[in-house]
Amino acid sequence: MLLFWLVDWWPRSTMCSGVFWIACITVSSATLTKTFAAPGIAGYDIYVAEESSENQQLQNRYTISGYIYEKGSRETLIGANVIIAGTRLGTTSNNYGFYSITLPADTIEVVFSYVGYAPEQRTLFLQSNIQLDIELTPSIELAGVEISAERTERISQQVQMSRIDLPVFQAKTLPALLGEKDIFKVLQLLPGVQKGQEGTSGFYVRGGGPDQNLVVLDDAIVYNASHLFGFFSIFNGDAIKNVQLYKGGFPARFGGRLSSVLDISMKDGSKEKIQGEAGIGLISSRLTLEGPILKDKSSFLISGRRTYLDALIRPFMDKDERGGYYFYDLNAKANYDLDRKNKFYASGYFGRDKFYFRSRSGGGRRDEGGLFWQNATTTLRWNHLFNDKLFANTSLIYSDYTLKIYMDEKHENNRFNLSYSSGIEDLGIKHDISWHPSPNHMVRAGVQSIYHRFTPSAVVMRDDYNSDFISEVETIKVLESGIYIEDEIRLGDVAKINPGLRISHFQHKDKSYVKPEPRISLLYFIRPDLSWKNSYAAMNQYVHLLSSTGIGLPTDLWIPSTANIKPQSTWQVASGLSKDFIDLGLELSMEGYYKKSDNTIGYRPGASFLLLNDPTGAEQISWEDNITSGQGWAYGVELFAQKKSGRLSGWIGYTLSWTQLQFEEINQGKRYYARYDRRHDISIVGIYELRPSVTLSATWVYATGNAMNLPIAEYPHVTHNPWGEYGDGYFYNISTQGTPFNISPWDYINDYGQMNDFRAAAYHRLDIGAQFNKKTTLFGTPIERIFDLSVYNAYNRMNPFFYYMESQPGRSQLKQVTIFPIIPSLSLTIKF
Amino acid sequence: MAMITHPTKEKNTAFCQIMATGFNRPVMMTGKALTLVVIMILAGIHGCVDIVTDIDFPETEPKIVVHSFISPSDTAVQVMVSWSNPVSLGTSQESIRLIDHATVRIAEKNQPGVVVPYYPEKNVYALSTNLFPITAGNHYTLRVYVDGYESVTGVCYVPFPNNTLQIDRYEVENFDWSELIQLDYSFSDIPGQHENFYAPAAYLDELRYMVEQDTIGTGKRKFQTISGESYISNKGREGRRFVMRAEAYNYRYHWFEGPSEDEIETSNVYLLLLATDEHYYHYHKTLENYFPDNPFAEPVLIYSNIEGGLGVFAGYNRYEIVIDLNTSSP
Repeated sequence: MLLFWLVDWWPRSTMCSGVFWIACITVSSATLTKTFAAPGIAGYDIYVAEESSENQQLQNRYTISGYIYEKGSRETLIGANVIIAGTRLGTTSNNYGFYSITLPADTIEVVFSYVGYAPEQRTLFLQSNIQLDIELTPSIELAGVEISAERTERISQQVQMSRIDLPVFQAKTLPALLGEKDIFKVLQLLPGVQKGQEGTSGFYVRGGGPDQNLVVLDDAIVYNASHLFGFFSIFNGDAIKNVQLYKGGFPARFGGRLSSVLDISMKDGSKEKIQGEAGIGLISSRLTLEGPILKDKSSFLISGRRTYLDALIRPFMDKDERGGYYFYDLNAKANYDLDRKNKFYASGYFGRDKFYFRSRSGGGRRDEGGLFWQNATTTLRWNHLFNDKLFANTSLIYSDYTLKIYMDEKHENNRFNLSYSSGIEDLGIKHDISWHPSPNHMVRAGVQSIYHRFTPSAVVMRDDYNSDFISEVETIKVLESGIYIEDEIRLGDVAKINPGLRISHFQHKDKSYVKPEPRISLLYFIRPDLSWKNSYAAMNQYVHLLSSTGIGLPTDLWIPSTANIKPQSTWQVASGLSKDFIDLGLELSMEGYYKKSDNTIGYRPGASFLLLNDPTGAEQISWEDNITSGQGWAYGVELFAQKKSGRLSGWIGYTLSWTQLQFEEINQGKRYYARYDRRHDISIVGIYELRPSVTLSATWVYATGNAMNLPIAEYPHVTHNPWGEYGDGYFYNISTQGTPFNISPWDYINDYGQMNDFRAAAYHRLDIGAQFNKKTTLFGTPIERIFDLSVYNAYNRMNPFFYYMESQPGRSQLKQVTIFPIIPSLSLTIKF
Repeated sequence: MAMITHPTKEKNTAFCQIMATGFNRPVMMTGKALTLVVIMILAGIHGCVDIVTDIDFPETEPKIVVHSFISPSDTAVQVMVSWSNPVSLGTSQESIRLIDHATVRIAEKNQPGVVVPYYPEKNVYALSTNLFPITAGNHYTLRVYVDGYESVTGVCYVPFPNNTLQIDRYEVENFDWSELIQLDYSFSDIPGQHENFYAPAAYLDELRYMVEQDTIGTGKRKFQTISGESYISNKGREGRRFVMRAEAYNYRYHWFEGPSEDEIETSNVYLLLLATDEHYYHYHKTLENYFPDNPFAEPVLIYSNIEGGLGVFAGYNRYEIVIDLNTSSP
């Protein structure tokens, strides 16, 4: 299927460009190997040329490399730490669980560790290259694990700043709205990440909009990551292995979005035995199955989730009048280890939300209509080890997002059919290498090319009553590419630096943009457990989401940059301190950031998707003409204290921030606070293991209210009448006869004051939860049963969802609508 | 304080707003159908769990609202002054509250200026341009004082006229009860040191039934724009020729008694090109996009250049072509 697309769809230029880039990188990889390979050394024994002079003076160096797995399932672990005891040397496993470290010949102790797993320690006699695969045992009980400086990689050692690894197991322990565990909602509890509307899963990172987040699931871009108008995210926690969020200091390997990168990896599936997990909650039920296909060679995972409210109420509905809503999603992945050097992965996601109604009435009349949106992604990946120091991954990626609104009316032989759709379809190729020549260098390089096909709006109408047929489908084809190189350099025990450069390229018709994006991160050790970090990153964004509501409706339009719409760009500097309290198992970080955005795009005032580009319209309005561009500023300070292990774990986050926007056509060109400008944002998250079978959790959040527009007054709707007579058709308005003023008798103008002048009430909420685990048997099979109790908004705070004005005699009353009062929920999970 | 009562003031819905954009029937159906589906869904969700609380709304003072458009071609400077109605008072749905006791002064830049007196019969402040001439290329300041309130000020610029306007084509199609007039016309931007703004339009003579006087009067009806913009800025398009197409129906019979065919057939078509200042452009442009009840759009903040108040004080200049439908041939 994918090959078909590739052949049928890939334009010649794309192919050439893609192949060219890949050829470049592959040649570079080969050159690296050839240049630095010392002749006469067999197998993986490859020296680095620049080091051979060092070697002559010092001693031989050898490489330890391999994969880090979870014991039992043999699921690869991402970001596991490899630390050389007694030194500050170490590395981490990459997105495929691979690690490599090259050291002088010696007897060394290596510690392998990962949060939530018992560490493994090995003593190695490093006299030749060693291939060492490690299995770590999951450890729910972390209280007994000794924490020492040498056992864990510390935040103060990582040159990367503004990155948060979201522990998926913690996310599954926290209380959730209606019992639906949602990693996006947990992300919103982190400093620098803000929620949009109450209950919704869209997030705003350091003042950037939801479309400025690059959300990738196994290398595939996900364009609309929400179910039920954003109340839940599309990511099913049961199928997710790892979640990393970058808020700034972006490494050169990421590009294409301004504000954040959310890198999500799906589980590979257990290679040991068939196992599964089934759950039932208030909203949806879910089932995950995973297991080996060929023992130790290949495995699969399939995970599905569906809401069932529509099925439950169906028997109670009139059979001639039916309607409902559902969403479902399906994750599937399979992998195959050809040999130690070659591994293959295929993963996919499909999810859909649908509202529908159908009715039948007398005379054979039938009406139906609805709205649905769906995402589909497919990724094929090939991991290849050129040698113990050089790892490569090649991915072929397909992604599709579609929104459709439809109506169909049939009566006798006549039919009225109307559908509106918009979407984006991607086909991409990506090649990345990582090269580990010595503990002082880790070089990454790669290339990526994505062919996007946008359909900003497509309207098809068939009207038999008026013998009318309209079909207007506009597609825009663009090519987005990037090439990068970065090197994580260790400067003794004093500092670390990660300089990088990404060059991005975008082609739409004859217009092309080439933008260099320099990136740099610096770490300076003040003390062994205290470091000062700084970063600078320039980013460009070539695809944009036009959102008219700010509430994350799926009706928002994805559009590309064109000759008229310049790419959005930003630069961000961040500086901060990181401190480890090793004895307490506590990490503390404080970061300040300043971000400047240019060519930020938005709808012109008053424009929205329903008025755009209506092919039947007398006035053809193009979406390009409805866009205004401006600039933005975001700055603030974030404090984050996190305890990842122990009986009591969790974090406290605080953000003090300002976000301002300026558009020539909005607010008379004056700067204003963005809707999601948050002066204060606090989150406190605690997980307490009362007994091995009982885990308690609580979260408390506080956020400054949204900045919004609320009418404070009304005044007459007056336009200029150059004739000074009776106006342009307003017959009744005789009071201004002979004046140049047309006063509309129907409309008033709202005075909103300055843009976003009104502050909604502050938002705060406490959620509490408890999980009860029990190991038991079901039909003779050992199972683990988990009862999960959540109370959302435990003290029933009436948080604002939106406001409206109700006119009453003598006085108008402002009303506030809350949608989530206290909501208890219960869910049951069975692992088998 | 004079009160003008609105004859019909209905709460507009999103549907009405979409329809009010001047779309033809299929578009109404498209907009309506799409909006209907989405609104039903949103209402369904919100309907389930709404909890509504009353919120104390901060009392707001009314603001002075000023409207004035001045031009060398006008016989008078006319200024309308009214109060805004704070929504907390809840009376706004009924009427416009005109201010008839303000002191209105107009001045050329850096000059002392003159007072513009109130004309109760027209509900505006007016001063003949014989007494206070308006000239192109000048800036004017308008200041409005109301006892007990801070004065409000606006500054405008009167541009030079653009006389490149020409008719390129016109066509008349006859129907039983009416004729359809279609016009193509164009003009060229004359680039200067600053950004230029234009408001081109075509009008048709029309007889109208005047409700209050119970008589037939004459008026001008604006052509519907088929292509081209109603308010134009030359930014990025300096020196370009702008082409417009517009159409209007000329009805032979009205549903009320009055006009005879002969009278209608003497109708003139007027092509008008207003060269305007930026305030005229921004104010009308934001009004053009103003659909306060469209749930899918961020609200539009209407442009104002009245410091301390609301409304607009704008300058323009006019160039006009008259076409007599009876004597000209298409």
